[in-house]
Amino acid sequence: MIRRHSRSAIFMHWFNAVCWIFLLFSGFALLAGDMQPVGRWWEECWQGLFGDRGLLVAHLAVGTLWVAVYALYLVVFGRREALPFLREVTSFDVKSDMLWCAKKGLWLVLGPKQTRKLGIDPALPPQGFYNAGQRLVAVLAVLSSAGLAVTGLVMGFCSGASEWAVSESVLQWCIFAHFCCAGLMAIFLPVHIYMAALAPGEGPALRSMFTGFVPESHAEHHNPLWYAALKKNG
Amino acid sequence: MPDGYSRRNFLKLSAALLAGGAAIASPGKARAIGYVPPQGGPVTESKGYCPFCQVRCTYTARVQDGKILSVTGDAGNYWTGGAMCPKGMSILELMDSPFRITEPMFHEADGSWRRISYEEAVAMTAERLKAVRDKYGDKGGNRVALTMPLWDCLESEIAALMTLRTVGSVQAMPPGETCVSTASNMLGLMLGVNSGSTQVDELLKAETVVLWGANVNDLYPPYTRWLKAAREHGARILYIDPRRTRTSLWCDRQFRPQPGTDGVLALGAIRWVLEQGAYDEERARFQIEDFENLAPQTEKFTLERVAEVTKLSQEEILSFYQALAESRRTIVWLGGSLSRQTNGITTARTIILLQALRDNLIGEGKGMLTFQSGKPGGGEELVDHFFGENKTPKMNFRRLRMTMEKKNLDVLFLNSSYRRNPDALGVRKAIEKVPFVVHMGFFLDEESEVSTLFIPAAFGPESQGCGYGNENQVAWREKLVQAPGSCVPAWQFYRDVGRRLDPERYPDFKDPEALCRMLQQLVPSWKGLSVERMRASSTVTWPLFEEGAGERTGTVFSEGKLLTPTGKMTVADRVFGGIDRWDYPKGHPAARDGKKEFPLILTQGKQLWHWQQTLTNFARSMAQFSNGRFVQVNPRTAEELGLVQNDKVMLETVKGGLECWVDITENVLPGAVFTPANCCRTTPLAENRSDSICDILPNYWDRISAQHNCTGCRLRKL
Amino acid sequence: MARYVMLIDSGVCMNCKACVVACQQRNHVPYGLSRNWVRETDSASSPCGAAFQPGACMHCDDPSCVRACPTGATWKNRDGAVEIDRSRCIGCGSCIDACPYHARFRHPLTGTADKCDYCRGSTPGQTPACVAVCPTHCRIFGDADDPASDAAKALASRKAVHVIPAGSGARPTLAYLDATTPAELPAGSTGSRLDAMRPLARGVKWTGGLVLAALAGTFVRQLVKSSEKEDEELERERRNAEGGRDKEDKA
Repeated sequence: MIRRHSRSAIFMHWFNAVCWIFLLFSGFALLAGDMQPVGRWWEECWQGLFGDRGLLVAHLAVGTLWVAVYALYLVVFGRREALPFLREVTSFDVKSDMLWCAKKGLWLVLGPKQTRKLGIDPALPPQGFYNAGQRLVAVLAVLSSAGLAVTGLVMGFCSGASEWAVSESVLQWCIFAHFCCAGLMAIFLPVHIYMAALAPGEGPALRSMFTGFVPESHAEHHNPLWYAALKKNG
Repeated sequence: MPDGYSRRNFLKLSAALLAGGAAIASPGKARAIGYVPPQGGPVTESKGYCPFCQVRCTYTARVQDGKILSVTGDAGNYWTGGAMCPKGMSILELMDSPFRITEPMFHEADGSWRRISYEEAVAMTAERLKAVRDKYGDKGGNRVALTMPLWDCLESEIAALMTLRTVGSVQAMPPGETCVSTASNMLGLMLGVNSGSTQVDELLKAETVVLWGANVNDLYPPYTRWLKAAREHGARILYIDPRRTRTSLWCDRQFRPQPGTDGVLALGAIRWVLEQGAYDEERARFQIEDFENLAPQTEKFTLERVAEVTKLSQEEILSFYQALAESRRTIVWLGGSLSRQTNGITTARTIILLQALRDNLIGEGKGMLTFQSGKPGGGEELVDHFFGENKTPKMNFRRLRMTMEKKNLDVLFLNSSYRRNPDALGVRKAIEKVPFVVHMGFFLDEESEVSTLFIPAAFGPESQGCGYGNENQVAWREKLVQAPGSCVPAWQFYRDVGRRLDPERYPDFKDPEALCRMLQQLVPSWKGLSVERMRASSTVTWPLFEEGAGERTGTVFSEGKLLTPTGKMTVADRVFGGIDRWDYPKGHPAARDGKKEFPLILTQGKQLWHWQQTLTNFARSMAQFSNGRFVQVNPRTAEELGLVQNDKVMLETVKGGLECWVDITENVLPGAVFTPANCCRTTPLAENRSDSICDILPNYWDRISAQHNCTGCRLRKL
Repeated sequence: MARYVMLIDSGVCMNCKACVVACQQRNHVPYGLSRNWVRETDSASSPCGAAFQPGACMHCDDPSCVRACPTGATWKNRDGAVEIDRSRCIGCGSCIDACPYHARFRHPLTGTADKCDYCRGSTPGQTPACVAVCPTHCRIFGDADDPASDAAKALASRKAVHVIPAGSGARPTLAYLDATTPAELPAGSTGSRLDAMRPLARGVKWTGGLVLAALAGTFVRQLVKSSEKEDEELERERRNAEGGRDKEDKA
């Protein structure tokens, strides 16, 4: 077995997962009328659970907690984990990555046999610590998170009767940007969940999100470049 | 909503049940998102009345945590029907004003203020009065004077009068000295009652209502309902005013004579009525002693002459005269501005004679109304009860001013604004010669500048007591909230000074209620006005000689004759002469003393949301509608002077100038200039700030009071 | 069901502003801002040179402010009132931009949108302050569906006139009696910057839906036959093929 995730990273992942799902669900329930992307029933169920005001307070409370914990994490583990992570997820090889995404899609939808029949070699380009799909979603998630955190804090604490209240137009831009970020993540989050938890062959990866370790064979197969680098460094 | 649950509610409810009632309770106050202001303690409702104009609107105040949240007009008040005007509501803001001074202060010689305690202030005042008494004995009465009105209640007035009496003074200047003195004196002289002869609800019984310079809607907004009701009852409202105002909206016809020429219009009316024989000679002779003088005294005021002077067309004049001649019941409402011109005595007398000639004084739907009618008597009776009668003649303001100028006044209690008097700067100089001036006020204003001692006064709702209004009605008010700091109601200050000086005679009363009960015990006209009765109803009309008796309303001539000693009035008066001596007001450009360098006619008046030159100038709630010192001129005048809208000009009279901006409007006649009366120099609110208009008005004297309207002026473009 | 409306007889208004101050005080609105107003229009036919038109929130049907609010803090109540829940309002001002009557403003103390609520917030159940204080009774408030109310009586005997900002398509419920000046207001915007969120929300809804559907399809497909199994089969075939070749070589 090889250590893939540190304990702090595992904690942050699941903390993130819980917060995000709650914030996404409650956030969508805060939107009204034509701006509500799910449906009236969604809004009403959530407001029924928390109360009109309670839902807003809960959303704000969880959001603030999420930002605070993340901020703490970045302060403590920024050097050791966050920076390397950022370096890792931002190293793209455009051609190979596009090829990986396309072939992974075909692999899932058509299966390797059909793919081969189309005259395409189903073999995926070798990937590093993160595969192309993970890196793409990671970059989007980092950007969206930053956007959500900043605009969320502005709306929560620099609005209303606050001393630092910003102008109406800044608030409007914040709502808009907050919604754009959330919408983007609402689309990519299910893909991530499926690919990481439900797609065939991901069992060891999912388990590693709890234990921190992957079998050598899994790493060799899914992350050959990382595996090679590990080997090289002994 | 009460009609059951919508789908939305149903979903919400079921989701809440699902959560096991775990809905998050409203958390404490969050200052940012979703801020909901704190709720505060329980809200109680109490009665009160407005301190400003004579309508004396009563209201219900919502009080919470020692603060008045809001006031709502009292729908049970017969006279107001629940209406209020913005200036009345400004009291809420004024009570909490950041500009309010709440501690007594002594004015040092170098102009600085020294904070002193209330006890020190009382002791200092008593000492000064005692010094006067010790030095002059019985002859010291005229060395102490007081200017009214006092702000909070009738009891404060009585308390102040008693304090003056401790040094033998009766010199309390009535508040109307420069406002309605002429009208009330002439009404007293000719009708035997120095106020209106009837009540406003009689308008409903009139066929014709003549608002003679009476801009009811701007001055008494809550009384608008009576004009409305009168019209609905078929009365025809004729409005005589050179200026188009809010009242123009409510009249059937407006006539716009040149400012200062109303007397000629009335004189011509008498001539025309006589000529047409449109009168009952027997009834006229019953009311007019020297009826035979009427014709010769009005002879020269032909239609042509009236048209020439008033610049109304002959057709307009005729239609007005015809309306008067045809009307069987006419009420004339005298406007305040008629009393502010030196020819006002003649104007008022002529109008009253015209009413008598047409038999429009005695009976229902007939009579005279003014803007400051109601003042229940009885206060002086009570004072006399404790201090004995004092027959010293009362000074008018002219004599008081001379007394001050000659340094013959030792103590002045300055309550009202000195700036209501023309030549206000001259008045100020005279006051500065008084060694000890006590000003009971609220703000650091022009009055405190000239005072030695500043006593922070209480606003009405900070004390109990009764107030009176235009219809002789009295309203009771409980103390609603605690006054801030060391602010005291006037009755308390005057009582504390008075009791210290003369504990033998000055009655000991703990609050206005105690004093009011003395009034009911000792003064017959107050017997029926018990505190209990006043508490139970919005207003009770004075006088009421019996407990439980019905209120007397309607005309004062209930016995079918005038209340003068002879039951009659005269055309040629021993003091004021004949009415044929009509002339333009002094200082008017067309008058004999008019100056051709000042060819425009200056008129000034109140703005709806301002109460004279004082308190409301310190209220943002009023400032939001104000726009500083402006002059209104007719487009034709503006063109002649080369002025455009918003031009800056200097409004100049023989006494000085004020900087104004120009508002061009058809609402004023060509050749006339209008400027609001309210602005003051000391307000921190720029919208209300300007030197007082009275600073530049010359002081003309008409035998009764100081007059200032219709003087000549000019506009100099800046 | 009650249907509350405000009716205004602007012909008897004299612009005394009592309604404005009464409202500011009753509802704790700072002086200078206001939930109601008296519009002055120069008018040669008016005896005092100006026509007066009192106004306040028009409590529109299908209100543009409600459409503009992203958080549902404002809504049209079934009894006719357009309501604001301050606790849900974040003061983004979209509704303020979207009101063609400029009836809304941001309250500096609460930081939230503010407008006429028929005095329900301050004195529930009482006559609105502006109605109570008016010396000429030019404002009438009541339930139009209750024949005994002043409002219903006025509506029955007089013509209701609506004043609509040009091109706004607003459907006010506040009505003037018989006639009023001006009869139309200058064009007013009914939109706000957040209008762009509506198509965006639709986009999220459809894209998100498609993604979920695609994932579900893939999930099913993988249940039926796992790509991993196929990989293994292919691997086995390859090995078999290689093994055959080896045997052939040995042979």
